[in-house]
Amino acid sequence: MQAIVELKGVEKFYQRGKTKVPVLQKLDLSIAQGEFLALMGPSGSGKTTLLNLIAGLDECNAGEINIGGVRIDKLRGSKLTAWRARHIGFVFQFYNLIPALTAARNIELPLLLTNLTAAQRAKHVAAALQLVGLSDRAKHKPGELSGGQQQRIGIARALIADPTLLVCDEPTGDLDRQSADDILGLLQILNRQHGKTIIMVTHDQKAADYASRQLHMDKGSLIESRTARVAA
Amino acid sequence: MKYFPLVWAALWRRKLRTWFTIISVVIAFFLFGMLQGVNLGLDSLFNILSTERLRSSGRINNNQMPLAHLQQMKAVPGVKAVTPLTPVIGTYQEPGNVVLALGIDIDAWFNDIYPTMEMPKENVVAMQRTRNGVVVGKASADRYGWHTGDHIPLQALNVKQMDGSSAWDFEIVGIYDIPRAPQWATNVLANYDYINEARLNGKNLVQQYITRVDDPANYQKVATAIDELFANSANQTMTMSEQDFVRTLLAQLGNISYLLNGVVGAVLFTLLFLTANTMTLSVRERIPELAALKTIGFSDRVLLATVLVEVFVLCGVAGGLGLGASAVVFPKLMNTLGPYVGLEGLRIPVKVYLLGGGIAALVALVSGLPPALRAMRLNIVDGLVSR
Repeated sequence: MQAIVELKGVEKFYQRGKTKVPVLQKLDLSIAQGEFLALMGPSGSGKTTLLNLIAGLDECNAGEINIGGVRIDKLRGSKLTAWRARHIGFVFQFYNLIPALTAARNIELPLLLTNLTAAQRAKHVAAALQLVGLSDRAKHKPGELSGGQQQRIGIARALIADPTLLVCDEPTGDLDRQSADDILGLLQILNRQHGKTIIMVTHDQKAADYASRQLHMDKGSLIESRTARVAA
Repeated sequence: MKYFPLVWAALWRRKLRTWFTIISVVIAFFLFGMLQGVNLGLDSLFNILSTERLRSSGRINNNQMPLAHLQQMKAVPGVKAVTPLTPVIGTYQEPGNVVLALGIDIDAWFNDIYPTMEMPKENVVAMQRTRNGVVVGKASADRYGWHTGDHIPLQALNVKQMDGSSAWDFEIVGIYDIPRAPQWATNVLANYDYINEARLNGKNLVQQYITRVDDPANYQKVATAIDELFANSANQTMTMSEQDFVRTLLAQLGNISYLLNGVVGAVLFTLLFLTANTMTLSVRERIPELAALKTIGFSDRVLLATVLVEVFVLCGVAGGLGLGASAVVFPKLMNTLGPYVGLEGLRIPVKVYLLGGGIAALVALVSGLPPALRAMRLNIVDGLVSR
């Protein structure tokens, strides 16, 4: 299958005073379109940094990052922002919803960056709410929803603009087992039935088992790759 | 417009804090409107006062002067006309409706001293024919619904009639206006002779003389000549131009302009810090949300603009409410208190509202720019881990 994400010789380090702290070391990675990849590894292994680089949230110090044929390591400022708006859907561990906005308004946010009319936006929001099974919670504010429901809203927000990649940073890290399974099941449906390419960072082996491929990282390098035991 | 829900949501993220800030801004701009209304309103008053008119009052303790001064003043070279003036401060119908009736020489007043005040000539004649006749300012006539032919009973606070009564009856024979400053057409102008003859005490005494000079350039010379005329009498005078007279009167209360500007400055300075603090806190606690918005694809400029619009909405709405409240309260306050000090015509000039709007925008910009820049420059990765 065609690779949608390709990283070649990617390096990332942080400068702490005079000390250079390496985070990613000459990393190569290829992710096929339609894949559901789980990135695992201990804290500080560099998996979130890798996710941020792929999502265009951070810049690498060396190497190439090619997403859907675009060298995003060459993009800067407003061009990178515009690219991110069009191609990346980000699901956060702590949902990062706007507390004073309703679920529907939160989901609508990425569409504000498009030229869609208010009516068209509302139609898309209704569809996204239906997809995550929360049509009846459209008017609720995040504080009135459970953690699992908030994360579903977060996923709907990430999906609403139909991004190329769905990037999830510990999406179940703040949820109980049942809610986590619901969210992972939803991601799996999005991957299998809607063909979404998903990259998910997780500490949880059970969560990783929902992915079609697992990668393990340690000290800034990929050390293991295996096809997951796909959860039902 | 499509971003407005985002701005509105941010504004009401902490309802209590937003309400406190709004109340503070409303109070600050209400004070600004009221105090600057007095300050700039007085400036507008000075603009209609002139140096071609002189005011003479008793030099010692502002004592009343004898009516005999009138003829001597008229004989001073450079004097065009003189009127005596003696006030009856009274209430009309209700204790709060304070009305100032000035006993004057109506002919000199309208023909020579204040020719810019508009009143038909026949009304002057009617005044001369009607002993208790008065002409009333249009502003007061509108306020109290007075018409020509009406009788207005005043309950005097400072002058009793010969029978000991405080009730004075005046008949309206005309209405005058001041086209350049209609809000100052508030006084009731009565015949000095009527008041003088009818009052129990202070007969043939005058509170003030108002003199019109031939040439405004010589007003100082004429003022000195008048004062020198009575320098060796028991009733010395102190004469100055109308402008200087009002300034001196107000100066007795202190440097009003300095005081008011100081209070307004302190209020706005405090407001600046208060608003800046509110916005800084608001943006600081929203860092992860702002980082999430950047992740979604909101540009640096959009985030800068949304934070700035947020503070502009806050200051604009609350500042507008404060200025609006002062626009409602100020005239009522002046109508109630003004007659006691002769400032019932004081209104908030339009430039106070314009200035207020400008200051609200400046407060919004100065207090909103640092947090807005912080939002704009926020590093996404740092922002996401800052919860």
